[in-house]
Amino acid sequence: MGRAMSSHVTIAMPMNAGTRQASPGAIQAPAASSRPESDLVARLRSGDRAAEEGLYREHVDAVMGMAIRLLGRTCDAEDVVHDSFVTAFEHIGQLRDASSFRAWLLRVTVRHAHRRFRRRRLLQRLGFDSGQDDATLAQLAAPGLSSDAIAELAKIDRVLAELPASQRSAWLLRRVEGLELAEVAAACGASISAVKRRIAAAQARVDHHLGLAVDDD
Amino acid sequence: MTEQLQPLKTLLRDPVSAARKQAVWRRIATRSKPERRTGIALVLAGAAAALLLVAAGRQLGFMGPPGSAPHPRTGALQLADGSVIPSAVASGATRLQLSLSDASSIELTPGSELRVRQSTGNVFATELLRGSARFQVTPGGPRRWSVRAGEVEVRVVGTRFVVERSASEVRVAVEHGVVRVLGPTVAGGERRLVAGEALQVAAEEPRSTSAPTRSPALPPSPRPMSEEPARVDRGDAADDLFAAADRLRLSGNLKQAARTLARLVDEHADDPRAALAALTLGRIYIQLEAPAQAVRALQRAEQLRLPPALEEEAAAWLVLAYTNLGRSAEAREAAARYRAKFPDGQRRTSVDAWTGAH
Repeated sequence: MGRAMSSHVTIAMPMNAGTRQASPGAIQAPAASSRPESDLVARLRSGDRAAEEGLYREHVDAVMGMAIRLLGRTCDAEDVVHDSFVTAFEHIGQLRDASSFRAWLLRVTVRHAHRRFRRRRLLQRLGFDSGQDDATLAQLAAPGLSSDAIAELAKIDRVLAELPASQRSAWLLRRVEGLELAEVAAACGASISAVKRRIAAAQARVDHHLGLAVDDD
Repeated sequence: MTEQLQPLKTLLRDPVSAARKQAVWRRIATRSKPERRTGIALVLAGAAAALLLVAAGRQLGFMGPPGSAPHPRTGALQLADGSVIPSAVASGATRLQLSLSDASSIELTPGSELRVRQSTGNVFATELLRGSARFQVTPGGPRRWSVRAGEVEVRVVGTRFVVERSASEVRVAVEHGVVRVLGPTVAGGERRLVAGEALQVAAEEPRSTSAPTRSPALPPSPRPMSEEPARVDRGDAADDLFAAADRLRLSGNLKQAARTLARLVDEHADDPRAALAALTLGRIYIQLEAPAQAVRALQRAEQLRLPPALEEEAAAWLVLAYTNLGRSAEAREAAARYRAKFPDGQRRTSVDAWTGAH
């Protein structure tokens, strides 16, 4: 983050993470590499639906976190997570390399999120979108982050709201999620050069609004 | 240049909760469809259906010109209990709430009068004859809502807003969503208002030919109304306090608005609006990051008689206030009360997230 540019006040919506507990029967965090991913994929391909839960446990944190940050709205993100896993499970036969399930799943998730976002924009234009963004970057600011940094996150949120969906997704995957360019390209279903252009265009808008000059890819 | 900057997500908290993961897993395991879809197809289908209704209505002669008496109510909006909406509604000494069949609602303040000009499958047109009314319009419905007050017309998609009519002025304040305000006294003939904005215009165009100016009450720019000081003195009537608090809140002066609302609650607890004032006060205190005061205000709102339409909101905000205060046990208890009372509440997801519950 760079210099503070504004002093916007953001209402904290704490998640009270310190007191959060899983209730009996809840899905627990996966044991580290308890079962090879390819084994779970193989079982799922053979019709063993119990393998679905293993794959869900293994990847839900990454998928849900990314979906929430991509969409800025938890209810939309939950729908996308649902749709992404269901798509992956029901089309598992299309996955050629069982060891690349994660990358494939993330690609499916980005596609669903992208679709969802474009639909939301259309609904907004038609005046039918009544949802509220509850997980923008500023709203997700970690406890202890300075008000200046939060103000800059809010500025980035405003820029992102105006970007074309393709630029927005590519920039978020690269700058927020920290994916490699090749991963961004795979997730967006585009070439590396295409996503580099999208990220650069989005970055220029962000820099302009923040008044910063940041090296790009 | 291939420098990889530090991912911004390292500055963010983890938004994934066990409750959220579990909730999605349940849906995946049962292959149940998401609950909150607002499909484009659905919207377009609704629009197409509305068009068909209009066409069919015109073909069969069901729909008269605007302003004509409502026809046989095929597809017309009804009260929530299935009865017909009266063509004219007047609140007496107390607030009156109309809950409608599409989950929209209209709340009239004491001494207000509303007339239903047209109610069909695709139009719901009303006229505020006097007083003030708060409209909460369920978005995405097939009907085009409009509210007339004098020569001013408010057109609505899906939103929550207030229209106040006095002898000389009409005031429109938008709490959520977007409305268009049209009329000869509106600068340029039309203004679009978004949440937090308000507009005050003359109710009717001046008839005197010597007064070419349209409306001295028009704000010069699309800013929240009320540059006026909104000063209130001890002993002011509840009406004045409420109006002053509203103006202060809409102009962003939250602390002064909170003081005014607190006075209203303390000094006019018998007023039908005291509960609403307490609820608003609670919300403002949350925004001001004063959760202890928010808890007190929201508890007060619950003690006073809140309109049923606002009970859910009050219960949800109380959960957030306790959470912000760090009183987790009370937050969970408040959340449990919320879930028990509103099992399908619109704020269920937020309440669960605030308390990390299922």
